[in-house]
Amino acid sequence: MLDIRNVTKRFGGLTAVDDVTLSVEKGQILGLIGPNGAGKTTLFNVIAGTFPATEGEVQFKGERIDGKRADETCVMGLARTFQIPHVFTSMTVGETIMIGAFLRQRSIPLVRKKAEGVALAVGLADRFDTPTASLTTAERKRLEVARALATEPDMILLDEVMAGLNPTEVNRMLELVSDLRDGGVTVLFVEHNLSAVMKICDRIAVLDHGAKIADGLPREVMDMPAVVEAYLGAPATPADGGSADAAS
Amino acid sequence: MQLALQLLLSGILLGGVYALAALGLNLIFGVAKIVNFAHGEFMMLGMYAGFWLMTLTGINPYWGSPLIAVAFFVVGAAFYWGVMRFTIYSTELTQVFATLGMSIALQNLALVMFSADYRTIQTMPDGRSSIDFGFVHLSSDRVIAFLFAIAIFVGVILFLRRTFTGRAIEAVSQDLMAARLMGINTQKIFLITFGLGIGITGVAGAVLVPSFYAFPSVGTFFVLIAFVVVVLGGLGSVTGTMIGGLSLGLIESYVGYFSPDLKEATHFILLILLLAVRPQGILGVKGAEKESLK
Amino acid sequence: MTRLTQYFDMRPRDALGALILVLLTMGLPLVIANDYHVNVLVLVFLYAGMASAWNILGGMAGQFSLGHTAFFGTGAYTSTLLYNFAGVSPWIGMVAGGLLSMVFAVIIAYPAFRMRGVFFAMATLAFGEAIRILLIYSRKHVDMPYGLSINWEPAFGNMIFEERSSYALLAGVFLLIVTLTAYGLSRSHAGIYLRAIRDSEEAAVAAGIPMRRYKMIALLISAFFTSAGGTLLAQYVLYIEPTTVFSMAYSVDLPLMALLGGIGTVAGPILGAFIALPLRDVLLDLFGSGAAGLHLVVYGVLLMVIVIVLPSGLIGGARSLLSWLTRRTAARKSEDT
Repeated sequence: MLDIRNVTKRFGGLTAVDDVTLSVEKGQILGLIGPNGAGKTTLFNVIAGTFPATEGEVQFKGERIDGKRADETCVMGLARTFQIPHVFTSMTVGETIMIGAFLRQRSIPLVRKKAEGVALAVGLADRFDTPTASLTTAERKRLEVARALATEPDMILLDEVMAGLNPTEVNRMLELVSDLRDGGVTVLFVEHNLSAVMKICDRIAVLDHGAKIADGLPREVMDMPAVVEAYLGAPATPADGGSADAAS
Repeated sequence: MQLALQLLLSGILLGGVYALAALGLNLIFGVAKIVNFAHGEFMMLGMYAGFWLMTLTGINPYWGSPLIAVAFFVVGAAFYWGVMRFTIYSTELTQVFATLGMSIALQNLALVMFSADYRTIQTMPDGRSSIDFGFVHLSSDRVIAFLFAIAIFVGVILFLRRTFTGRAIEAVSQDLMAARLMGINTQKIFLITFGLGIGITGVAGAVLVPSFYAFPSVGTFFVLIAFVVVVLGGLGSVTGTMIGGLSLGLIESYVGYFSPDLKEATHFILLILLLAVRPQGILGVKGAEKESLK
Repeated sequence: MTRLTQYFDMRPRDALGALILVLLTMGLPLVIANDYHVNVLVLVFLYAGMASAWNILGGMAGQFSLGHTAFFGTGAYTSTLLYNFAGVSPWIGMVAGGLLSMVFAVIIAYPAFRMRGVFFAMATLAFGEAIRILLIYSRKHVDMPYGLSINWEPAFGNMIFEERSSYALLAGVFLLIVTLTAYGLSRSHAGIYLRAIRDSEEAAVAAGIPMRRYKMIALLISAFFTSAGGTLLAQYVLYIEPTTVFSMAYSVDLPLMALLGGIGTVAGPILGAFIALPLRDVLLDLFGSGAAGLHLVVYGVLLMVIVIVLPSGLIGGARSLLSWLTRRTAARKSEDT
């Protein structure tokens, strides 16, 4: 579905992403993790089209997308969310989701129906007519997912959707992400919350200092000494929720 | 060669003057993130202050500048307290229109009080109005205004770097939230910044009235010059303001020699191109221009 | 251009608003006899139309232009030059000016759409000023008088009329067309896309909105109608010169009216124009005897007060008042029970 080939991104003298090759298979949930400053967000932004790669290329469904504008990749079926939710402040939840749905469909009743379906899926059905300004952080994060989901993506990029949520909210979000996959959407998500990653990812890739140091099944990856060292600095139980929160 | 040198020197003098005209705008923008569309009108009032001081009391604006600085500091602080204080956390739109409203009011106030006549003053006795170096002539008033610009820039930089209040102003300009959490009284800082910015602008106007005509709508000319300088040099950067001023002065000096009519259009075309290519300016903070209407 | 699809059906209060507007624009010119009042009416309609045009870009799309004088002046100059020197009917000149303004809009869009907020405002302001200076400059090379008068030869084809009320009707039609366009836009998917762009460019793009295209649509519509307003005003005044038709005053007045009424709403700019222009006249009556410009001092101060007290305009203010009243009544009721 998504192929990242030898992508390097430099800002002046700083190499934020260093020759990363990574691919995501259809129907998978891939977690992209790594300590602060490892280049996760930069790689994410290259994929999402925020800025072009210095070297290498990104292919989505066999077509090159690096350097394309975010709205173009969105049309191709690659949607994203933002770590800090960007809400349409003058709109209601329903209108926000409809904005996404307008991409595939211009008939108002159909768009509205679609939006209601998405709202139900992300657990915002009872907030459909609420102004976005009065949502909680957790609801805003779900609205981010909803807006992306409404564009009917084949793949969705999630940027730290768990950050700032309490354990109950994290669990709801995990359910939502699994539901996405069960609905046939491929997911790549950048995450700090290790326990979350462990629970639902089919595969995990680890970045450190811009380079990929591991890539594989969650259990395997977390046992690799290089990963443990890079991520936590000292050997520890990786699945431990407490230490995971300390990393975020 | 001689011509090139003459253009270079008069360009530098003009540049210093432009930098001085823009400093107040940039200070206020840097700290309060407000573009003061009434900036030119405060400058215009400074010019009238210089004019009337000389006309009524015979004190020339150079000696009178401390008095004008104090008076305009008060005016600036009052402008903040009476108007801008209410808009500091509002949308950019509100800020633009609050300052535009001020601009309309002041411009017409000047028209009511001083009429539309063009006014200027002569500070130098005949025969000493220009300094002759043999191969180049420089206007004495421009040289004095330039020296004022240098002195004020050095003063502002020292103030910002060496005094507690100055450090606090810098802190607010870099991160309002953090500064507040550190216990800085941001209202007071904004008040001082407006006072300082408009105080400098008043002095700038006063020392320019011997070499530029004062009239009620002259502010429009200066506010646009100030925009160009600020964008050229960098938003929120004091040193950048000087560099921006000098660059504009030199560009104008050379363009003006070859095509006097196009001189003014160059300002605007330069401004548009600059905003498009490098909106953060030569020394500005990248991303400042991305601050959206919120 | 993308086909516009309707976003929602017309609401009852929109129908009421439309009825009021039609009665005002078509009725008042026939009812009012006083020449002075008809004059105010013509100006109010024209300004309301142009403020609505500005609002499509500045309010709906959130691109705060301070350079609309460029489009206004282009409209006034194009039709007048074509009429005076080539005998082309101002009706055609109006369209030609509108198209030329659209060309200018495309030129300024390239640099300006890379900026946001106050930087967009500064760039457009500089653009407006640059056009005026370039015009004054070029005049020296093409032997054109400073001011241009249009001969008073009333004929429909000349867009010159015997009666002032005909101008009022024409201006009223102009206002209706602009309002209808703005309304249609606001009820279509494009309208909600523009709102999305205004609220958050990042999120809009992430939702697959081709942002530049929609900003451009808003700019082109806005430029065309502002330009048409320039032609209409030139035909009414029958005299133009660079400093008046390319005056920064238009760039400031149009957004001002939109802001006063309620920025981003369809009715806001109209309401704003209906209040701001007569207000200026009233102030002139009150203070005009004192000294020239005194009424504008008061106007400027009022402006400051209004934007501070009512940052979302009269419509926004009325809305908050209404919701406050509803909440209070609700609170009262719950207290009673």
